[in-house]
Amino acid sequence: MSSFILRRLLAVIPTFFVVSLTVFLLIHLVPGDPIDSLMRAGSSPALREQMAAKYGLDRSLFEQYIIWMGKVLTLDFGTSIIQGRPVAALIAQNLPSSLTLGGTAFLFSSLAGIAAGVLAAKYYGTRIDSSITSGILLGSTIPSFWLALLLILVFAVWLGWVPVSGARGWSSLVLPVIATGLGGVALVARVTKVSMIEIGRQDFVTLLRAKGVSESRIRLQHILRHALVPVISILGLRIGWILGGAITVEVVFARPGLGSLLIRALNQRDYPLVQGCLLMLSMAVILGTIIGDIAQAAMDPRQREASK
Amino acid sequence: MLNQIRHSADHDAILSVENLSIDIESKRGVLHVVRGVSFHVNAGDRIGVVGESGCGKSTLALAIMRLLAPGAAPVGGSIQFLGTDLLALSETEMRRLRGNEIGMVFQDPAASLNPMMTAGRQVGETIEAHKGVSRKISASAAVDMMRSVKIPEPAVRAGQYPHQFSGGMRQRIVIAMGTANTPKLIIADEPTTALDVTVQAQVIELLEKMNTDTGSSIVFISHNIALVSEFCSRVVVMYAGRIVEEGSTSDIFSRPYHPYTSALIKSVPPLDERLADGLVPIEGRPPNLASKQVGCAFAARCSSKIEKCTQSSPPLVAMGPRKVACWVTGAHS
Repeated sequence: MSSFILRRLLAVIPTFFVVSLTVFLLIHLVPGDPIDSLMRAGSSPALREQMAAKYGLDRSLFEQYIIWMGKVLTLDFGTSIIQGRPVAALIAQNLPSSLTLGGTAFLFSSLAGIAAGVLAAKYYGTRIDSSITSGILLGSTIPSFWLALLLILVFAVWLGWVPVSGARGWSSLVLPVIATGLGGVALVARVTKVSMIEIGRQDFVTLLRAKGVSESRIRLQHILRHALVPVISILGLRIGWILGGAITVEVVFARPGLGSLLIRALNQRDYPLVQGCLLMLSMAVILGTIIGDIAQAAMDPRQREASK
Repeated sequence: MLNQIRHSADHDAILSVENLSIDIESKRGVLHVVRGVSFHVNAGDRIGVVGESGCGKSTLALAIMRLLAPGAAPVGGSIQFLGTDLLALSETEMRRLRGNEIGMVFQDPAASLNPMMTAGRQVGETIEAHKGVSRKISASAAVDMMRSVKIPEPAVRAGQYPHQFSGGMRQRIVIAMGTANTPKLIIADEPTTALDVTVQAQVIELLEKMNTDTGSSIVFISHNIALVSEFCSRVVVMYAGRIVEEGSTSDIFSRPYHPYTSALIKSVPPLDERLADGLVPIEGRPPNLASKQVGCAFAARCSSKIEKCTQSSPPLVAMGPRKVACWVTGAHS
């Protein structure tokens, strides 16, 4: 098992370089640059060149990448051009708020999704199933920022149960969590349901019935355990989205967080900050996937065997 | 005068199936897979049920367990187990019987085990489900059970997963699971089909031992009439959902009455392969089960058929200690 984990971690290295290159090129190939945001109208071209030289923007793209990468490898993400503060500090400041929202939303999608999937599978073909299934369809098609606006209108403006925006206290977390997590609930519920139904048809389930094992035990201890294998790999992909999935929702609710930070940095073409945020988000996705793989391997004895 | 058999309730009967019919709803219409089957199993009996695939033997087994797939249901007749009508029991009452009083051993041990649970837990689960014992007690009982089905080093093997066992060992686990509570009746549905011949013999030996040690009655379902002849004292031959012949193994093997039984015996290699002197396949196919049967279901494939065979269906009638359903070789002739 440990060599399996090691191999997975080693595979991150090439992925990391590809991702970093993509992140770097993505922002540099977009028109506009951070100097535009810094210069006042009417500044001389000489001053402009001086500024560009200060941030190393006058060098070739290749050189810029090498310099950036060299620093990143020593965990120095550079300094924000616009805000003048270290990128690492800005990320660290905004990370807890994003983690809280993303983590809670992740938990919400896992638990509610699995519960909904188990119920839909148990009552397969009945009205309970069809109402859950329509809920799933709705949940997976509504964009989260629009859902966020709708939720604000109903629960914050009309009913006044929770604050409209901000990040003060747990009550302000409710709507963002629902808006961020509902898509995940739908996805997890769908995978859980399909996988429960499919596994419920396997021969070993008939044999469990022949042993006189109770239906609820068959469903929860045997079928669900199997059904969770694909669910876990889906959840692994979503662990990565803990940080990245809430970007638009953070903006709608005016919450501090990586999303708000990234959107602002993008508008200002703040290269070091955008690169830092994007690299962070991509690494989160990669690590999340690995955690998912490991969890999946730990659950299935056959995979545990094969991955020794 | 036809010597029509009327079954009377037998005091020793563990299982009495009376005139049981089972239909399966399919997209192409209703299939009558079991058509008026009656047979009895007495205490300590070893009964073989043989026939080609699709003759209804596995459906019969699942019907006794009340585990028919959705769409399949008994449409007539009764199944009495120790005097209780199984078809009238509630699902909870039925669950208490399964694995406890009636054990089932399935074919294909690879698919019958939960790949994500240790062998010991899966055997122990049968005990836990009925005896209300703690997990610790059921775990040690499971090891004992695995020892009794001759799994070497049972304490170690109990902690292993199904994929770590060979096919023969897996079938032993399946047998241990089905019989952990010493049921009065064991239904073994093709328990050796997925195994090679030497392992087959070991599994048969194991079932034999179980039958003599605990007195459990065994219904042994197989397409292999040679294997059935090794193991069973009585044989029920099924064709197209009906019983066509029934009697003691020695009678049926030495002198099969029904042409289908003879054909079946000739078409299967004997366990001792040196005796195989050319197998004779049965020409043609079993009839479509969706149609209403006019005449004998085997008539189309039968070499000794007479005109009557295609006109009306021969009833199962007694000929001494045996029963046969044939216009030509049966009691009518």
